[in-house]
Amino acid sequence: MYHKELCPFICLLALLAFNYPILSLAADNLPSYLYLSWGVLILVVALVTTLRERRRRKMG
Amino acid sequence: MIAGWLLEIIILCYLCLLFFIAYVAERRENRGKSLVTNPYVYSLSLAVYCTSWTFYGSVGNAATSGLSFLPIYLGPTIMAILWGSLLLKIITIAKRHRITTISDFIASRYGNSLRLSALVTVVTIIGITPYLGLQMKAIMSTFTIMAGKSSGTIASGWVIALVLGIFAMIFGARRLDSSERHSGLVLAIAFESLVKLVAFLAVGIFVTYGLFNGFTDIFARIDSSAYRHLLFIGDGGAVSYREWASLLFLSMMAILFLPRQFHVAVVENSAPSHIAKAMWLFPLYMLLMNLFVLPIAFGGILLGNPRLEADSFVLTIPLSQGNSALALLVFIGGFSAATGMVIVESLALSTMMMNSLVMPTILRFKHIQDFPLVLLNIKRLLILGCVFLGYFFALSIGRFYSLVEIGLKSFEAITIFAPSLILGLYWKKGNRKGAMAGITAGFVVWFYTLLMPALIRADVFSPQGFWGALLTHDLLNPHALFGLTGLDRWTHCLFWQLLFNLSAYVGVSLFSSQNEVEERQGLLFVESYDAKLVFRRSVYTISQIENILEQYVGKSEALDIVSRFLVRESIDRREITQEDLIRLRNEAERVLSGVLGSSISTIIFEDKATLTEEERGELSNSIKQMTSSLRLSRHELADANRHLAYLKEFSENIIESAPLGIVTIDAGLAVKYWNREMEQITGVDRAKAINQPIKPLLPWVQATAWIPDQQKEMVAESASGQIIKLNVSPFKDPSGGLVAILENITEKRKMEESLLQTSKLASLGQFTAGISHEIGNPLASISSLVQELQSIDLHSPQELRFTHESLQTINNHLARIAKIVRSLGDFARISGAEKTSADIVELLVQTLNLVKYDKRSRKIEFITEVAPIPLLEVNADQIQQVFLNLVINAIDAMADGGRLEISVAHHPPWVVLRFTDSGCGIDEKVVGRIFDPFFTTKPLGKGTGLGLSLCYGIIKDHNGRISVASQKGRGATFEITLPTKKANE
Repeated sequence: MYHKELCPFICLLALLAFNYPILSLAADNLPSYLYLSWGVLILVVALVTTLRERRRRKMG
Repeated sequence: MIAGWLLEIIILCYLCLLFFIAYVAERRENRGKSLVTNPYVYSLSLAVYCTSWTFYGSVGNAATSGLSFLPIYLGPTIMAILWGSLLLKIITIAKRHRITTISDFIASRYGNSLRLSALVTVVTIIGITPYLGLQMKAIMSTFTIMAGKSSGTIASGWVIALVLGIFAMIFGARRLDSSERHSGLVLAIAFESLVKLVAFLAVGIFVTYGLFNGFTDIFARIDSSAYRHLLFIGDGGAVSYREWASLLFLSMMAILFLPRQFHVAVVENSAPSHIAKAMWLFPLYMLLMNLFVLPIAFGGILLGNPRLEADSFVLTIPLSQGNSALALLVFIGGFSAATGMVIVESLALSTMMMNSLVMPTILRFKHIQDFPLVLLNIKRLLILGCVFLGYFFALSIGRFYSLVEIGLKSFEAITIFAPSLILGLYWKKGNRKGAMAGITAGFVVWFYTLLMPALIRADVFSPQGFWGALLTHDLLNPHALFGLTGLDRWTHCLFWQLLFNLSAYVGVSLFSSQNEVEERQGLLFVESYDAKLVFRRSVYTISQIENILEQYVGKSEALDIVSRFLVRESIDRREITQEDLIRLRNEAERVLSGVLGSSISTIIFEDKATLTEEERGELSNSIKQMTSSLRLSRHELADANRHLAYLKEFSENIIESAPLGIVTIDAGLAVKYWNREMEQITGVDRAKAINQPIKPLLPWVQATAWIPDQQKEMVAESASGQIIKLNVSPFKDPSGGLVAILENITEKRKMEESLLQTSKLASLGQFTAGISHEIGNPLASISSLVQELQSIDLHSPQELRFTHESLQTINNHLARIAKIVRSLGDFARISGAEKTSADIVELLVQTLNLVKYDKRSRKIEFITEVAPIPLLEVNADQIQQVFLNLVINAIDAMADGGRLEISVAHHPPWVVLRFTDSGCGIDEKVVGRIFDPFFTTKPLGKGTGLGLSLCYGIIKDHNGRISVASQKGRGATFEITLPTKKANE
């Protein structure tokens, strides 16, 4: 999947993860869910952008 | 508590530190050693988003509404994922057009409309001033808490506002060009972001681990308390899912459209590549900033602090625990959060006011003396005015509302621009009238549903009479417009605002037409075209452009701008072309956009436009034609793009999979491409090679290889001892450069040497019988003489003479045998692959001497005709092998005897050798194949079919030619042409 499509896809997943009804599924431990998924999201974005930058640098 | 005067000194010291940091950053920038041109400072400067609302308000919000503070930070995190495309597009357009504010951006998209720019500015000022006031309110209220009394707070607030204004003036408005980056300001903001993060983490750790036993303890206690609902959203929670989604959306828009965010993210961006790191660093900052919000809020409640004062829990908790040092750190952190916002926001607002409201009014006075200085001073006054506007708002209305309420009202106001701006970037049909209608509709809804109730609450409007009747009307109730109930106020305002805004924008755009300028700007923004490539514009002379610039930026600056352009583009002022003048005009317009805003700069140049009606008509038609053809070809373009992407990947795969090292070099001899095989050959990673000079990377290649004149081929030995064949060709590109292909031929060389050795031994094998006879005869003679000598009496004089003569004969025979063996040894030895200067006639004689030992050669008459020739640059072993193969083949072809004529001639710059035999000849049908490997006309087991193929390869390697002419039964002639040194040069 190209980066151009990957980012909107991650954005869509993030919107789903931080909205109803997914939030209602994690209602029992909501603060933990929110902070953990926030951290995971940052990690995923860091991974995607770093790999893309590395690839771009390699390709010159 | 800390005495008020001491607090004032501490604040002033902190502000002095900020001045120092900004000063150092600017000095370093001027010396070309920028401290701010990196993604980390860029990300930290984006954290100006976290204001006193974050620092104090989030805790207050968490204490009253649970998790509802989180969407304000989750929204930007989600939006940041799209920065790689959306923010990049905005930055690209803004930099190209020198756009410095959100109002300029929107106005520029819709045909540089001055009215639209003014409308956006007015909406922003009304929407953002409360937010600015919120910061001043936070500074003053925390000052009161720290000092323990409210007396002197207003005066201190006044002084602080003044110092902040001066700071913004010094580091944000030193020059008139707003598109110029402010490195001092950015580093100061980044520093403040660090301070507020450290302060918040410190108080968070203090509460969580100092006053309680960690997160689990606090959450367990709150879970079993009456405030359990704060842990939930939705049914039974402190916030509904609808409100949660609305806040998420509002914050997603705010991170893009808040004037200060636009300023730091777009105007202060020094390299688009910084966006990639900011996409996760900025969300990480927000995550850290929010890590302890819930523990502090819950801690405050559990410690018995009143929830109504939750906005100040961050400060009151350490104070109530007697930890004044921590409280002071928190105060400075909160002060940083507020001041950072005030400085950047007032700078951004003042630029908007200057470009959209002030400039159109005072433009008519452009002829007054020192007009640029007047403009600069007005801008400085505006900055100060913005800061004090916030200060007075904090004093008047701010006291009625919490930090969160004020902040969210601003977020709602900024969201009004979302349809016009986002759709304007992707929908060419959107026009100025639609944008005006949409923004106006959105603003009216926002004002009525959010601001009006606030003004009534602050007694600006009376709740009685007309307003009272309006507010209690079934359909016009601002909290339940048209009878819509069940929505919280944020969702309610957002819903109606977006509905009216979008409907008006899309509807009016669809039913009204665009003028030429709007069409042009639509194309430029949606397709990201460069204006100079698309439109031909009216031409001014250099002097006219200088005169226009001079009026607004001053004479020296104007001359500087023009001369910088001429130097950069390498244009001679006397020989400037019309195309160059158009580009200079575009440059001048862009510079003026940075100074006056895009709308004004367009007006300035259009006022002086010299287009005739006919030209305008032509321009209009060409734009329409271009627009329709662009529309039609969009699908084709998409297909072509896909195909191009496939081809790109395909060709990259080929280059990467090739067993050849491929490197491309630009005109400056810097590496631009370095494939995987290059990594294998050199041991240098691609990342380390890209953009590096080629010579140090391949030190074993002669420097002349990189002179970009013509194609070159050479063999070199690498540092690791590999034999590398190098082919360097000039790039067929106007920008120049080279492409080099490297082949590791170490194994190939070894195989060639092995093949040569085998071939030589095979050749020797072919005349072993003859040679053994040549050695056998003298050996037999020696043997019989030795037997004779054993039986003779050495005392007889005759026998003594016989002995002497016999020994002489034996010695002669031994010398002959030694000569044969030496010849064989010389021939069988491989001396190396190097080419050296050699006398090939001598090589030919040596070969013939060797062959003459073969008894078959006795039937052959050897005739040689040799002309004087120069020494040739050859590999002697290889050339001797060629001669031997040709002579042996000739002998084989003349089994019953015959004649072999060998001639050597010099036809400068070539040497030609002919081997003509009178043998059986070669069938014409196969004569074309005799140089093919494994092809032989000899009987099975007699020939390998490699001899002539080897000859062909050797002569080719010497840049020579070998050919044959033959007919069955009429012998054959082999002709070898070798270059002299001159020909090789």
